[in-house]
Amino acid sequence: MIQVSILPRLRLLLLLLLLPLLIAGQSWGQSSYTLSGVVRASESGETLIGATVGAPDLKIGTYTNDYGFYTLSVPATGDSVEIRYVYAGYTTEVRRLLLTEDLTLDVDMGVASLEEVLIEGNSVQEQLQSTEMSVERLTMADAKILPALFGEVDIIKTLQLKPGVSSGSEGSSGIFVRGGGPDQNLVLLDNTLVYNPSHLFGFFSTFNSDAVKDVKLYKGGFPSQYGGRLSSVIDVKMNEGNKKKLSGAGGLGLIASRLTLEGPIVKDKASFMISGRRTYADLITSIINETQTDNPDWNPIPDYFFYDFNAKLNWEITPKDQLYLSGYFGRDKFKFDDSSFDFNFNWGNSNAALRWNHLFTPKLFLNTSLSFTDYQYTIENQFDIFSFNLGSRISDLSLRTDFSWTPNNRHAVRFGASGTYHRFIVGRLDAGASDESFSFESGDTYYGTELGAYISDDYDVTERLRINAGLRVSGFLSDSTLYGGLEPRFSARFALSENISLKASYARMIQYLHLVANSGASLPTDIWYPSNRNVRPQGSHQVAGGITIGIGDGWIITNEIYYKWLQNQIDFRDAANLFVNDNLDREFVFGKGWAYGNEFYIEKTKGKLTGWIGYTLAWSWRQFEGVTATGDFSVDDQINGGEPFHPRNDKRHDITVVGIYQFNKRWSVSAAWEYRTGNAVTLPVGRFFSFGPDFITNPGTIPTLVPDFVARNSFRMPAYHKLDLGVVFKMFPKWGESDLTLSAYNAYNRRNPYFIFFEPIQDVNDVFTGAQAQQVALFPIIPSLTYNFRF
Amino acid sequence: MKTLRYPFLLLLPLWLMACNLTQEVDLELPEYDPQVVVECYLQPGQPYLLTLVESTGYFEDVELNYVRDAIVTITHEGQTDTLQPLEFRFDDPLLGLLIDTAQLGILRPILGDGLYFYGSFTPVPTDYNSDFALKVRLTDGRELSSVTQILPPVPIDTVEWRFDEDSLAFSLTKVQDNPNQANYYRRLLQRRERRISQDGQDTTWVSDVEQDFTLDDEFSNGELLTFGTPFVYRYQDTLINTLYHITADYYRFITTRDAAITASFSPFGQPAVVYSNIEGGMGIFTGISFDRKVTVIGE
Repeated sequence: MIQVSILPRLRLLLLLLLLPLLIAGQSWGQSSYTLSGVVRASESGETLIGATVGAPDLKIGTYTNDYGFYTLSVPATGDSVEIRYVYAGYTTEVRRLLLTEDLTLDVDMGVASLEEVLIEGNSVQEQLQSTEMSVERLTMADAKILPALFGEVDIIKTLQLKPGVSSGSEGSSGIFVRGGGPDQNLVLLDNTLVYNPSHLFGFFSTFNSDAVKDVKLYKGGFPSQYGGRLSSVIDVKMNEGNKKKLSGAGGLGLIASRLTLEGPIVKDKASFMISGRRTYADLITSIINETQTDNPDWNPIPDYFFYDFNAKLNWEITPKDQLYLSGYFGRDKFKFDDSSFDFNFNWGNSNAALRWNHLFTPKLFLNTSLSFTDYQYTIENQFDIFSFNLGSRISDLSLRTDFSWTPNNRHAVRFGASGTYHRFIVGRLDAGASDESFSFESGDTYYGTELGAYISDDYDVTERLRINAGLRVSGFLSDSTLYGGLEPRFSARFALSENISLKASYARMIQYLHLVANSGASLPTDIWYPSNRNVRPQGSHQVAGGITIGIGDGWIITNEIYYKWLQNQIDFRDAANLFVNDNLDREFVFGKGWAYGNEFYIEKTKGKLTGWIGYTLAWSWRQFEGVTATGDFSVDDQINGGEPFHPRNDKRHDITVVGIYQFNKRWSVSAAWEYRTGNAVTLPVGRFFSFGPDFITNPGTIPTLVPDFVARNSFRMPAYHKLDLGVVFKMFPKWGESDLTLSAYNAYNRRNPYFIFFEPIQDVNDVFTGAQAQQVALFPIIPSLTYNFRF
Repeated sequence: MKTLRYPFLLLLPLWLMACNLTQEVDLELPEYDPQVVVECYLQPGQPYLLTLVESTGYFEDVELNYVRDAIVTITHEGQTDTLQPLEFRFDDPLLGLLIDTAQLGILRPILGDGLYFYGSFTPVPTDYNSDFALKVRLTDGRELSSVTQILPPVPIDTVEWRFDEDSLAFSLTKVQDNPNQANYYRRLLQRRERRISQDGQDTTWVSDVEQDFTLDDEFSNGELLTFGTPFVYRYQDTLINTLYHITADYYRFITTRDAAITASFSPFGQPAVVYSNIEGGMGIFTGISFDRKVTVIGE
């Protein structure tokens, strides 16, 4: 990482960028024809991501990209060649073609009428052949089959069932990947960054299951087009909208309902998708409050609800140009009204993206997007004539362009650049009285510019060896300080046999934005803060190695081992004030971290019984030795006396067992069992009495009992484990399809610890005589029934 | 301001009430190494007083473990005062003079045999911005030390009140912050209230604490600080406004102490190691000065 001029390195980068292009270009003279096109679902016109397109006789193949586009160089043999289009859950399409020139061939694939579940994530062949490792891919079909908390299908929680991924706490949709922090995940919705991807303090993710098409999670081996976070990339794609006919989907659940409509604007040319979701607990609480308006002793129940709204338009301007406009708007609203005290707490994300796909040639594909993202929270208090309003906000305007160039079947080159302009409003506060007897305003606004450029080549070196080498250069300018760095990426696959691949990867990541969150929970008041002259960017190196084994047609086993080094990790001084603070820099302390582990995964993807078992054995560490931002030593900047400690989410053992059994077209059952080592927490081991200055002048004052926390996170909560069960009954009315989903969250009613607190034991005079540890669990067994429909 | 620091705590009781999933657990905490805890607050004109206790394991009996027979000295401008042990046992009538009988009964389980501290009848000099050095030598030879200063008081500019149509008043207290230095304050607002016994025979005056919090001036350096209250006061209510000017060390001691207390019962609190400026032990040695204004609403 550098904090000086990066120009000399840019020249080197340019050279490195051009080199693979020149190498790849040498293949242009080969005698072959280019077959390209888009693969779509026949019933909706929705593009299919990751569909296999191959010519088995010639042992060549490729996959559709994020927009369903593929390109395949077919050798000019003079004979007709069989091209197979394969996508899990769809009927395989076969075309026999005699190519005499380049050909564009769009293919529509029909849904297979199988009475069995297909896990539509990474197919066995894709996992065996791809250089990508440490990747999990899901579609909403996967998530919808599995039981969910309150029946609210949540793709992030499904990802938490994969090895190396865990939630922060019970029911949370927060993600902790391979020992990383909650701020180290790059969450993208249609290429637009989502800063706070959760509702209700992290219990639900912002992703409405009906609006989402595909999710990909990278835990390591990051492709070079991604940057800005250390530990993971969660790339969520929204549905594009049915181009064939008007259709809809929705559901009535225990706590929320949702509705999605999609359809053609111009058939096969332009379509729309709109989707909304809202919880309705507040409707009940407000009725209860209204019935008690005449009761002077009634304490009103606070109202809370969240909603979100997704929309997308897409328009095929020409066969070579496609335009997309997508957006997301979501808010959580918490409201408490009393006769003299009003408290409103609102937070949420807003995102919008305009994207243009263009096909220059069948081998060169362009995706350019202009996007806006915003996250903010506001707290508004009104007490008598006094008001106290507080808020923070981050807004980004981004432009990025990505090229995919496939000169031949041995090279898949990607290159592109991005720029983001960030605006941070931190701790905006205004307080005052309506009679203007006083007023007060404060808060700071910061700006930052983040730039990135990358190139990578996925290269078949030999039939057995395939590598993906990439380089990303990134920079960040804020507070008159420029940071920059080179982020090399490398991954390789070596095929030991048709069914066994060895894989390895290395990734360097740099993160310029930091989440200011001084709590184990995911809170809406967590704010993002830029690197500046005092706060250096975070960095990581990650190496991973693994083996992928395909057994038969529907089994896959992977085992990966990884080690991750983390630099410039940020934590906060004891009792840091992160809430109303004009100078957050002084609250930060800086240290390092490291994490390592082994992830084992076995999955059955086909048949009446499908599912997976994952086991992760992992360690994660942080160390804050007292080195200040200026490189000096300060005891005040130490945590845990400078000794290494485990972060809260260090989980030694993490086991998940997921099974889905499809009896027939109507009935299916599912079960998911999780076991995780308890969170590492800090508990007081001693205590002392603090008299305070008033005890001397007023000796009757009762001394305060103060807990003495000694070692950070040295105590383990009891292990977390639970079983979720689900039953789905499908119905097929004339107008479409519907189902009743019955689920039981925490089926054996395990009291999983959420936190431990100490309850004072008091005598008859209310004098403290001791303390009893109390463990709080959040969710007992929670049955829920959800009605879903699709037409 | 302090009450708004964790607004999401408002939601917590809702969850807990809804789920009722709290259960007692027995924890085996690691062995604890007791520490000597010093507290000494130098207030100009007041005698030197110091408490010396030992911390205990979290689940041990709740009783003050006094550290006895230590040699305690405070040196200022070359003059050393030795603080003498002062012990008031429960059967000592002098203790009754210090603490009223009812309160003494309440405190008895904590105080153990009585009250034990160190003191000197030499008044703390009104000498701002010069060092006071503390040394404590324990009977086992261990030594504790610290250095502090007394900061000059920051005057309260004005105390205003205003009535609404319901004849209730609010109060505004204004203080000019010095922009040339970092300042730390403790704001204490008390309402003096006359309480009449149930039989109407006895009248007592009590000072209820209305506001008690600390703040630094980082957020409003050099500005006119304004502390407000809601409309709760009636005509002739007496307000006691006290503004302590405290040291950075004491500010950190209070904030980390409060954070530690919060973290012991809240899932959103981040456990804090209580800050100490005592070399060789724990606690706080600090100077305190204050300005006080007593105001009668409506007069």
